[in-house]
Amino acid sequence: MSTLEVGRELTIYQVADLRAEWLAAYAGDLQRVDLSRVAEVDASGVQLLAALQRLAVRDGRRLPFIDPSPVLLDTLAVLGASGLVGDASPAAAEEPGDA
Amino acid sequence: MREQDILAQARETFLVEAADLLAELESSLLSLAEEPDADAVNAAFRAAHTIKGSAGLFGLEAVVTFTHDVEALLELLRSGQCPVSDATVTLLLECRDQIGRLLAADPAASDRAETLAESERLQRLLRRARQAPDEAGAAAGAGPDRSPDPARDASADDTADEAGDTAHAPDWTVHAEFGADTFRMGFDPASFLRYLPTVGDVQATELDLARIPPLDALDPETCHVAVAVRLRGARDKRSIESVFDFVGDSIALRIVPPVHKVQEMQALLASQGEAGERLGAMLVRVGAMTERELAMCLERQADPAAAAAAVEAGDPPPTGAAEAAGPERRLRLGEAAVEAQLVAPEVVQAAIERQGQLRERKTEESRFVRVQADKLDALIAMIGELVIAGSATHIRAAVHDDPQLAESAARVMGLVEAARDRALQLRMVPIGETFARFRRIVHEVGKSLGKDVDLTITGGDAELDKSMIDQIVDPLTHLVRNALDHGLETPEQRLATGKPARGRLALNAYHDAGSIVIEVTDDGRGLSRERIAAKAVERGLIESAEGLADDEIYRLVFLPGFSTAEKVTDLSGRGVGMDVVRRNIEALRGTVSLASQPGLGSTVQIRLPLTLAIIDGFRIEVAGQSFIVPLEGVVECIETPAESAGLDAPGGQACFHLRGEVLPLLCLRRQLRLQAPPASQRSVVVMRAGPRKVGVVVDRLLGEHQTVIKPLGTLFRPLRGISGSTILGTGAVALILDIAELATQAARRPASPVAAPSPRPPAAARSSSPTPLTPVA
Repeated sequence: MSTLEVGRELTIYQVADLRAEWLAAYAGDLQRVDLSRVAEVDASGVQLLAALQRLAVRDGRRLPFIDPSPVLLDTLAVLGASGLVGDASPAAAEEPGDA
Repeated sequence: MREQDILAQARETFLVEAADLLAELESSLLSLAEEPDADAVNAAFRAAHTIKGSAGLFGLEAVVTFTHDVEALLELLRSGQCPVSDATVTLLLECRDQIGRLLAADPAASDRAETLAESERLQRLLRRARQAPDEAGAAAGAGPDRSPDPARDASADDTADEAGDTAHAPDWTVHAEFGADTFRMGFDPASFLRYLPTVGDVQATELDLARIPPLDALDPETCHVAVAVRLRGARDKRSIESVFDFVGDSIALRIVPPVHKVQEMQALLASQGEAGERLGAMLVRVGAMTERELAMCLERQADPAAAAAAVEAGDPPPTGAAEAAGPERRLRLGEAAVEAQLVAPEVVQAAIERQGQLRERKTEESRFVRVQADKLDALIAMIGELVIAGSATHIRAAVHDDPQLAESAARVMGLVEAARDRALQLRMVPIGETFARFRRIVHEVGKSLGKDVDLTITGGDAELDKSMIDQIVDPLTHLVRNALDHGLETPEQRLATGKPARGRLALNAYHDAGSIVIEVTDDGRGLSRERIAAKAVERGLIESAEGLADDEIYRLVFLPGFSTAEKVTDLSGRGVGMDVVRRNIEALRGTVSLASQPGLGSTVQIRLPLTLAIIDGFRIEVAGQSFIVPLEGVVECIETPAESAGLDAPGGQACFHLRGEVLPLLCLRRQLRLQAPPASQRSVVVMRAGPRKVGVVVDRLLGEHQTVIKPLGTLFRPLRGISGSTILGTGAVALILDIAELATQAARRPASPVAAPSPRPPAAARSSSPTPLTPVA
């Protein structure tokens, strides 16, 4: 799939399984991550998102995180990770190296 | 010792220390009145605070509640919320007096209601001053706001550097590195961070993304969350730290206070603290470190291996000094704290400096020991007896022809003399403490008279006997008030005569040839010879001012019933002042004199002997009787000069000359009316009598003699010319002569007896031809 739709829950209870899932999607033709459905998220979930983005940056792949839900935005703000989403995020640029 | 005795003694000590604290409070307040000074406010606050605390220990409720209100106002002054105005300082001085009254108050005293009413009145004023600081200042017509504000500069920095680098930021910076097991322990870092706004305003948060490994290398259940938060308005380190208490030890917290907080800590360090306080405790007390951080540092200090292990586990490695020291060497706490970036280096520096200061102060304080005055007196009395007993031994040893015995006795006498000197030194107190009292008096009296006066104090180190200190206060007070009331003019008057509006009053003290000299000088109008003379004539004290030297005219001021004040003011002018001063001084075997330059000012000079109890004496014999004169007053001994031939004649008075000086002769036999024929061989002891010299004619010179002064009984008190008595080693009694007094009497009324107030006819003539006064060659 080209769009990863992250589910309702993105907490410590899911992160182990989600990692495997996301790595598999990344190995495919993943092009964007849709975060509109996230209704529950904790720091471990944010960490997972950050790790995914780091992977993309390392590999020089473009991988924007789009449509963050309000709940996610709030938690991102609390953790000071708002930069993960939006146009200025490291993996959103046309050529990630320029970000 | 029974418990209530212990308590009673502790209470005694408390009262003495409270007196010291009140003195400190007063001098800090007076210093504030002169110039705004953060140190003075701090000192005043500390003094009040300590009194309150200690009073609480002894259950002195009234003192505690009253002092609490005073402390509250001082706190506002300290933080700059309340301006330091003249009115505030005056109110605080009044409060200081009230604290003294409350401390001294006896619960059963009849004026207790009055005292409490006064407390209430002052507390009302204190409350008003606290609530409306500007009003209170304006209402009292106070001067401009002169409050010290050390924080003012810091806040200026804040606004300027709002957008600038973190070094000058007004915000706290919190670095929170959650431990690897945070998730596994069931914690969510986000929930802690959500709690942070309860202790301050979160300005910004930043997650350190670089710490998070890429997804393929990540163990999702291991926590790599590290955030940096900028926080504004948090009260202290501890309140921030407490947000993360629940997460326990698995978090690495680094809290960096804003610049003004750092300055606050440095200020706190500089102004507080007790000797012996450990560095860690100091840093925790001012909020530079939290208990937890201190514990961590101490742990690392104690177990460097664990510190090394911590580094292994991924903690930031030691840098700088810690690195250089190597994992084995123990770091000093301050170094460790700075290395761990827990405390700013300048704060540690301030703490270390303060420790040093306090240590010094403590060693200074422990140099002093409190001794009860009567124990000291008992010791000195005993040494006095030792002197006499030693003298007896010395005399007996001289009788036996045994050189070793003589040598032994001489050695004992030498030691006794040394012990005597040291014992007397114990009673000496610097006069500076007494002088300091006058600052308050000058401040208040000057105000009430509308005179602007600058008080200079010099020679505060000069010491005098403790018993004299108490007795000198009243005369000095009178002299100071006199100078303020009569001597110094109002600012208008001064400006009119071309003087600066500010008057000068100076207190000076110094040692001079076995005496202590105290001077009270003012640059006021000086003494008017004409007015004094006129008044003296009016009061029938003298016939006329003809032929009287200036200083003789000025001395008239000391006669009873004399006063030139135009009107009797509250302070002085009742004509009872100066002669009481003179009498008080003379009771201490001292002298007082006046010097003045009309229009320019006056100086009152008091001379007091340095010791009361034991003096070095010189023994002389007249008509078979021994007398003692102070050795320090002896200039030299000479053979009877030719001119003394005229001495024995009735009405005869002789002078002689000595190396170009003309000196009067004082024949003791005549002066003391000793019934014995003049000896064939006589000697003259040239002695200092005040500013002059006189040749004292005696029969025999008997040498130096340590003299323990035994005071004369009350019956003999009016006797002038005899200043005491002593017991000789032989057991006989010898009178101690006041040569100056005898010489004065001899000059005034030749050959009159010592004590008689009215002149009596001279003793029966021994030779027929009257000898006229020998003219001066």
